[in-house]
Amino acid sequence: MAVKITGIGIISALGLGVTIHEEALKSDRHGLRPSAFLRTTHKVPVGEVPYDLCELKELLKIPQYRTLSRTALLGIIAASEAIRDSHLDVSRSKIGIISGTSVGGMDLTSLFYKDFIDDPAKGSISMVAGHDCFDSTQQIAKYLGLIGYSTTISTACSSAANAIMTGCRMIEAKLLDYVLVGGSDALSLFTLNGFKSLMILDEELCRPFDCHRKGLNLGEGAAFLVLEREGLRSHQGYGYVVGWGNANDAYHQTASSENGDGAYLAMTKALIKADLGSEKPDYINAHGTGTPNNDSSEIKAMERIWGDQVPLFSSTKSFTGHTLGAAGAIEALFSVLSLKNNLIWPTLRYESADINVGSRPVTELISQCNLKKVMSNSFGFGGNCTSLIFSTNK
Amino acid sequence: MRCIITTYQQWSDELDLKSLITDSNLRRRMSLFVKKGVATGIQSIVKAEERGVIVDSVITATGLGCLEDTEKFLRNYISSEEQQLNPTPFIQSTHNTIGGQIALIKRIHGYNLTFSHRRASFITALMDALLLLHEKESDGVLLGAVDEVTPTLDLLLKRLGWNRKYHEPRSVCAFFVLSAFESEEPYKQDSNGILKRQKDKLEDSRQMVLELSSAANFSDIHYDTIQTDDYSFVAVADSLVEAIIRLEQGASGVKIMDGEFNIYLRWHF
Repeated sequence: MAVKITGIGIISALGLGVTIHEEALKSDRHGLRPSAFLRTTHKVPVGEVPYDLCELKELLKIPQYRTLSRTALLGIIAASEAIRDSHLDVSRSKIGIISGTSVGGMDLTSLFYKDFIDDPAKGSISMVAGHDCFDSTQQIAKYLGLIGYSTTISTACSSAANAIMTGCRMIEAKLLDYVLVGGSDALSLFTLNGFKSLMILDEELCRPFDCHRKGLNLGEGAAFLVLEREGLRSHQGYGYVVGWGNANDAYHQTASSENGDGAYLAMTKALIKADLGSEKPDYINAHGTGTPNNDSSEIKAMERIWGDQVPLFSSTKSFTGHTLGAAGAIEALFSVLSLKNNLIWPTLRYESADINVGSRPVTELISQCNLKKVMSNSFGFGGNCTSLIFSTNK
Repeated sequence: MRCIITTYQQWSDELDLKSLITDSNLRRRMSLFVKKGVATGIQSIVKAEERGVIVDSVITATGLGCLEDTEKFLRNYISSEEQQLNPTPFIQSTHNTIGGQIALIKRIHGYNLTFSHRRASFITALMDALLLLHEKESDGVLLGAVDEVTPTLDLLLKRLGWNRKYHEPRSVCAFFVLSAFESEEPYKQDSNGILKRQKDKLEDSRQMVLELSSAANFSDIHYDTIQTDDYSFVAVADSLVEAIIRLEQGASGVKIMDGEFNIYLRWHF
């Protein structure tokens, strides 16, 4: 049962919409800079979406008086583009929605709590009404008029990848015909301070896989894909999701095991599901956060599978920053764009090889590649690891 | 889609945290909510193992996640103006903390997922567990529902007016171990060609069967009906516990009605 991709939509630090992202990825234009909207004392670059709350509402023609979290707004924008792109008639097709987010409406909760902490009667109460993970998914469904199956997955940084996987499985089991899958997460003081407290934020621009990498840059954004069962209607589509694998590292709440057990299992499961046999993916869009721990663990997991013949891989987090719960969807979309354009995206700012691992990432745009299969990795706190495989063919 | 409920366990003060979470460092970092969830989940796994079912997958459902840690970390960075940061509450604040910690302690490398969709958190997690068994991707799924009412949540729901309108605040910590139901072949030939009961490890030959369906079925037996409370985060998980208890107490079948879904529970001999 083939799971076809028929619509895509995205917003991130690189801008709004698929075309802008294609251009940015082709021209090495990243979106990492000091925050303009998030008010923090930390001097770190972030991948902030270049619109404030008012502008986001304007883009969506949502009245300014309505309180909506940034997570919900980013999600609505990306989801609307994906639905438009799929040419699905929302009123005639029952479309499900499965979204991933790590902190939901935390951007507003954090602001609310600042007032609330001094006086429990204070703080604008509507700002916490959308705190939970359900809210952003529900706001998207409501805005688009989706009335089908709806749920939200929250497995930290692998949330959106798991949402995509769940959508695929439900289509395969004929529980759904059409499903909007993806994820959304906004920058918030909560996550910024969280990663700061873990001392894994790079104060400079992040350098995934580089020998001198110091950590990640936090980002935000949303991406959605429309998936449907092959054969329901004629639509050229972008290709297929042919493999998925979910496993747990069972090692540490935040750190990855040295040999990447969870990553190894997730990738292996996805390869088996995709029935690749001895064939390799042509490109892997790695999790590649830029932290010393993640990147070496991920490469070791890849080397466990392919030895010194690891497929070409790169980290597009060097463009967007780590968008947490949305990362799995943003990078799934970049994988789809790789197939569409027959291009392998580079890892920016990679200079010197890490002597502890053998394999090196792609550092310049590769265009002569005849891409057929692309893998995307997403790993998160709690040991949650998920791999997806996208293909031009069923 | 159907499955067998092998065991279920609710949080109780009788559960011994120290013997269930033996690593004292791990235990010390956990908030009470996380400790309760992890201990209840592990107790379910231990009970399932006694009945011959090995848990290889973990699915949890939570409407609001680890509120205690979330609040602690909010306070932490707001009151210190982002200067003195203790990472522990942040690390423990993610919605998948309990599912992740159970996997870590029990070394469960298999499928692991956390659903957080307000009132539908548990029902969509249950659907996912059934799908996983249907796909034959698991022999035993630990399915948990965890939510806590904190004083702040109580206060905020009152300020929102939601305590009356939508969500009566109620805590839940309940875990179920689900395994595949294969009614078509209760007997299997062993290598000597002798027919053997598949589930002969079970002391009790009764099996509690759960079926999720949007249509009415099983007209041959009587089903007691439980209508879920429309206004609670934890209604479906609570109703499932109540249904299991009713079945154990002698009901021939129990039906849980929750919106467009019906959950049917009955004995299979």
